[in-house]
Amino acid sequence: MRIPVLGVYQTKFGELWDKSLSDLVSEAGKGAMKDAAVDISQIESIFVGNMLSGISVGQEHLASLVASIFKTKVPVTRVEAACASGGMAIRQAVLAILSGEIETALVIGAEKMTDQPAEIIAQNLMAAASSEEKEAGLTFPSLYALIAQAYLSRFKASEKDLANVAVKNHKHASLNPSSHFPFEITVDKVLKSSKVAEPIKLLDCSPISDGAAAVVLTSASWIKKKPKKNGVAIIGSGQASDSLELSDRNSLIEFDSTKEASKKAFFQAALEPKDVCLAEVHDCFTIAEILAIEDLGFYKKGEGYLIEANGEVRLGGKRPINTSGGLKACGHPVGATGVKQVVEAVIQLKGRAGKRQVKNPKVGLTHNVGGTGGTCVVHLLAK
Amino acid sequence: MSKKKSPIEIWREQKSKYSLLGKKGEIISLSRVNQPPVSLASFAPYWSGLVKISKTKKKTGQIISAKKDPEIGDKVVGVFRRMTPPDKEGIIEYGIKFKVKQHEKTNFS
Repeated sequence: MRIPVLGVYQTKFGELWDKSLSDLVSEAGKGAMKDAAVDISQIESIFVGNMLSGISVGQEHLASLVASIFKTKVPVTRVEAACASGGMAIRQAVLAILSGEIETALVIGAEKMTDQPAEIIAQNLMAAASSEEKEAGLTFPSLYALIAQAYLSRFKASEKDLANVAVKNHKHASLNPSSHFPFEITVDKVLKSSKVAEPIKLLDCSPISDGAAAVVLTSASWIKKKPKKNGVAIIGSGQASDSLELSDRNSLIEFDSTKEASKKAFFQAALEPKDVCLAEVHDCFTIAEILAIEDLGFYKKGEGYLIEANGEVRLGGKRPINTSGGLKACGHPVGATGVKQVVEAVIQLKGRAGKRQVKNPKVGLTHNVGGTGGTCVVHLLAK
Repeated sequence: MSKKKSPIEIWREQKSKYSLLGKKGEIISLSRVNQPPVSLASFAPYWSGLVKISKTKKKTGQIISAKKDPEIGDKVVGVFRRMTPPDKEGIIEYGIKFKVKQHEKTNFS
């Protein structure tokens, strides 16, 4: 499979009080089309990844709002899978192009989260968890705290091992002007940050952010007419599900959905984990990155926290993880994240990443998770 | 704003929820929640966790411990407790929390 990526764009992620959801969608979509050197008349379908536009912005008919923004009558489809909305939107566009029904698609991931206080948004985000978990008084930090507690106990890891992930991702974000937190932090600062749900502290958590990202995708046959535009392509796409609640999982310390989705993507691309040069993984909390690099097959179960300490997954190391800064430091506007991950992989493969450029990468991977692993979407990209 | 439970929903859930009353279990994982959801602000901090209630079944729930902080491996039993603070209108919701009870034997490993 080969789905060329014609153009990409990411807005600044952060507390963007002067920008509405419509402003973010418009900026990202127009930016990606400009990068692709196409205009809206050449786009045959639009896919939008978003989770909270209903609860937080009061807009459920997002598909029609997006059509209005771009003044188009082509099909627009809203895709929702909690924090995996963006990755799923990319996959739906890939499937539509593979079906032969369309040749070009614009995919936008967008989220507006900072119009309301953080505690209201945190409560709204629990729409991605089960009733039983809400009744137990859990929020997402505490759900991932249950995972972290089980992992630390099983492998005799420490809270310092979790902190290493945040420190690395902030170092990467300090080199990314579009990130929410473009500055470094220290392990000490993470360990001294307020205890949200033990052992998860404030600086173990990704922030609440506004932002949008977009890509223009096309078909292998379209690109034959314009071969100069054939740079980077999606060569593997996998999606898998698991139970909504943690109490129904086989294990607390691994995500079956990550293992299944990545297996499918690797099979499609005829590649293995060892072929991946860089990856954008779903570090909604520090423990989530440790699980991800194990479940994706890069390292054995229980090795992840040791790898985060030895520099292998830092910029300049053997396989840099989250050069964008990840969800932790680049920011996590929920519906935008999965699309931003693809944007970052494309930028890296095209050699446009500036100060955070990985040396001559050939294959990139993106890993986007919904909730506590109820949904996972993985993509592989190559030159 | 996240939706508030209607009386119909609370009534419908009672049968399955209350079946945990008296159920014995063991803590698999837990966390002290210092920053709760808005609706439970007056209850914080509290413990929530994952409890094994049979060889094949696990449940998430709030954990109560009278004497000291609960730990992974502690034995618990389901007890009847108020789940939400009183409100100006509507039903006061009751449910099951898991209370730490040492020296309880479970019949599964």
